Amino acid sequence: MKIKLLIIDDDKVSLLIAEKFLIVSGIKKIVQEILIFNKPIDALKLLFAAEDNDEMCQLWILLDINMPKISGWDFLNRVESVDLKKDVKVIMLTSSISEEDKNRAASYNSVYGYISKPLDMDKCNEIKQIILNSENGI
Amino acid sequence: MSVQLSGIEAYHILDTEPSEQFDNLTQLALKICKADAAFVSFADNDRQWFKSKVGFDYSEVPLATSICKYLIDEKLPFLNIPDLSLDNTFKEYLAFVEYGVRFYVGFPLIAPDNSILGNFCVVGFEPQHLDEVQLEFLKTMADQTMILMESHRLNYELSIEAERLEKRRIVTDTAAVIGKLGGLYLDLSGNDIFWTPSNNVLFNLNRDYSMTFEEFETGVFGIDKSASLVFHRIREFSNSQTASNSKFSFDFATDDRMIEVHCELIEKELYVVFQDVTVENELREQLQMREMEAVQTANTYKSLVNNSTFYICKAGIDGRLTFCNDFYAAELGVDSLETSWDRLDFFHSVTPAYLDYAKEVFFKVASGREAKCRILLKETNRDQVEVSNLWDFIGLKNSQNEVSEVLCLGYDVSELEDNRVQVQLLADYTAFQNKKLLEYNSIVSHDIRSHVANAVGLISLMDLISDEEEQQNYFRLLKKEIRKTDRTIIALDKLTSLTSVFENGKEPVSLYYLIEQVFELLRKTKPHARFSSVNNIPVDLIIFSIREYLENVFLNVFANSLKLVSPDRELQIEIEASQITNSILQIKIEDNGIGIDMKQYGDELFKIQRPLKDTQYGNGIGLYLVKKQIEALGGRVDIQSENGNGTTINLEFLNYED
Repeated sequence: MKIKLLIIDDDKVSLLIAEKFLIVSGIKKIVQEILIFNKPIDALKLLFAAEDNDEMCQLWILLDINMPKISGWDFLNRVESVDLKKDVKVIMLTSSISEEDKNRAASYNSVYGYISKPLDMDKCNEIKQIILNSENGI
Repeated sequence: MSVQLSGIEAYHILDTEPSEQFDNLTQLALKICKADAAFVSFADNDRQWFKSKVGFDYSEVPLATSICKYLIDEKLPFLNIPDLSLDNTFKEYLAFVEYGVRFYVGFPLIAPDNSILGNFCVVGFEPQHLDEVQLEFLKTMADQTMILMESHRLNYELSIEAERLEKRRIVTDTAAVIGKLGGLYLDLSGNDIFWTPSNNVLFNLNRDYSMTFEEFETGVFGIDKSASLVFHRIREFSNSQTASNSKFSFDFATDDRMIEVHCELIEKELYVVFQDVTVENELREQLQMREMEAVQTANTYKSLVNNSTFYICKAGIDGRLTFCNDFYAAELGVDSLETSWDRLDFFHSVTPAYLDYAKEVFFKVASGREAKCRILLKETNRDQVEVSNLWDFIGLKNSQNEVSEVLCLGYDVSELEDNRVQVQLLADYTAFQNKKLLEYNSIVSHDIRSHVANAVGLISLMDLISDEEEQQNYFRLLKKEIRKTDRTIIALDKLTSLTSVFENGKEPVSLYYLIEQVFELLRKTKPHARFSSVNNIPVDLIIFSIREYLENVFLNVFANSLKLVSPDRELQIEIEASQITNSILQIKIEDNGIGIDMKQYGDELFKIQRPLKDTQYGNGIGLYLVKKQIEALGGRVDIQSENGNGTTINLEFLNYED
């Protein structure tokens, strides 16, 4: 099945760093498409639009927490409040080092991982492993 | 005495044995009168009973047909019948017809009340005439019989009385033993002594012992030596007394008992009473102990009740006071001259603002809806100072299980309350600071960290990527991130200073009216404070600031002045304000109090919990808050004071002239 990776962050530098590292780490071997979102609302729009086409695909999201207008938490609440046809799985990618945020993230069903910024090769491998494990049903 | 007997019954002679004394009389009469029979008889209902008889054997005969009955019925002085056969009346009588009696002479036996009890008679079987001497003799015999009768009666009564006396003696002796009483009587002139047997019990003597007069007279007693000591003392007393009447008492202790001895000499008679008071002494001692304990307990309670820490009072269910301790009377009571007690109720001292609340809670307890309640009340004491008292109301029930009174226990928590208010202020301030700190923390953890994370990420990318153009791009971005970090840090500094926070709450405030309001508030909340105020602030001066904070600042500044009142003069607070530059408004507050020793306290003035002067002036937090609040408003504070000569406080606020 086709896997798409959405990276959502209000910080463009952070987005750039994430995309570069993931590509260098060879994420493309697992993920067929990477989509970058500077505004969470655009990502939401895409999610709900994708509901209408029959394309069979798996959606993975790297999600920042502290964003203006729609925070990472708002985003998660929206996603979990509706019964999406598409399989959506989230890995938090945030600069927050607060234990409180980490625990809160764990309380969401759709959250599969929690990675703190900045990304490096090890963390990229961790993300790949989470995706592979999930796809293999581990 | 039992029922008074009359007639023959009173003599208790009927059916008694024959008596020699009576028989002597009848035998003598028989001989003197040469008669065949003589007798003494008594009439008893329907029989004639013979106490004494000579010449026949009947002990009694029917009364109805006897000659004696005739004698009695006719109340004759005597009856002399020389020959019954010649007498028309008596020749029909049984005496003649049945027994052949021919001669009869009888004299009545007359009791002192003139009633006739019976008669003294002689009879013969031959006719006979008695001469004068013989008749006189028979009369004498009848009189003599009556003397014997009286004697018999007295003997009988005496024997009865003796019996009664013996019973009484036994009862008395027994009672004396049981009652632990003893007695001794001495007739010193008649050498007579009376010894109460119960003495033997009291002094552990032989139960048959009885003291003789000789023993007492010689002082040689046939009893145990220790017991004889008491009689020696009695002897000494009786010998030493020359006065005719005197008394003497002493206590005598034996091994196991205490005996009180009371002697009384009346003329030549000595009365001595012994009383065993062992138990009474023990009881008295116990009673004294109890009494002492009771007095101690009472004193303890009294000192508790009249302590100088707690108010204790009782009120009826209408709130009227029925009792109060000294402390209450001294602190909250009113002069008894001004108000009579029965008009004083619990609420008289409660300040108006707390009155409804106090009544609601009190009557909750008085009505029995609550067993007890605790309540904090503001009250005005006798010195017209407002104090905070913590009260417990407790319902007291009567025997019908209804609340009849309310016990009120209270103590003064004014100082605690003052501290609580100040601590609350500090807590509010601390909470505010804490909130700022949390915001600071959140900014540090997110904003700065996200920049640093980006910088670290970019540096890692520069290692990873070899393309020079791309590397330069990352370097450019890196510089940007570092600049952003710097800006964030500058913004943080702004955030942590209080000033910026208050920009939103600012409003134009008329300083003159604000100060007037504060003075009014001060006079209301501290009605006992005596001070005058001079407000020299221009009426049209407007300061752009936060009203609540300004009020607080001036309340604290003025309260500080009130704490430093000079005993020599009434406090005067003077305030003026002027715009010293385009942006700075200076407010000057002067008082004529005792001032502050700046050398000693100057550095400490604005620190928390540095009490100024004595502890009674509070904990010094007031000026600390003033400084913080003024700084929060973007101003500064400056104090000048000469010890003993008042204090001047200069406040400077940022205030832009339009």
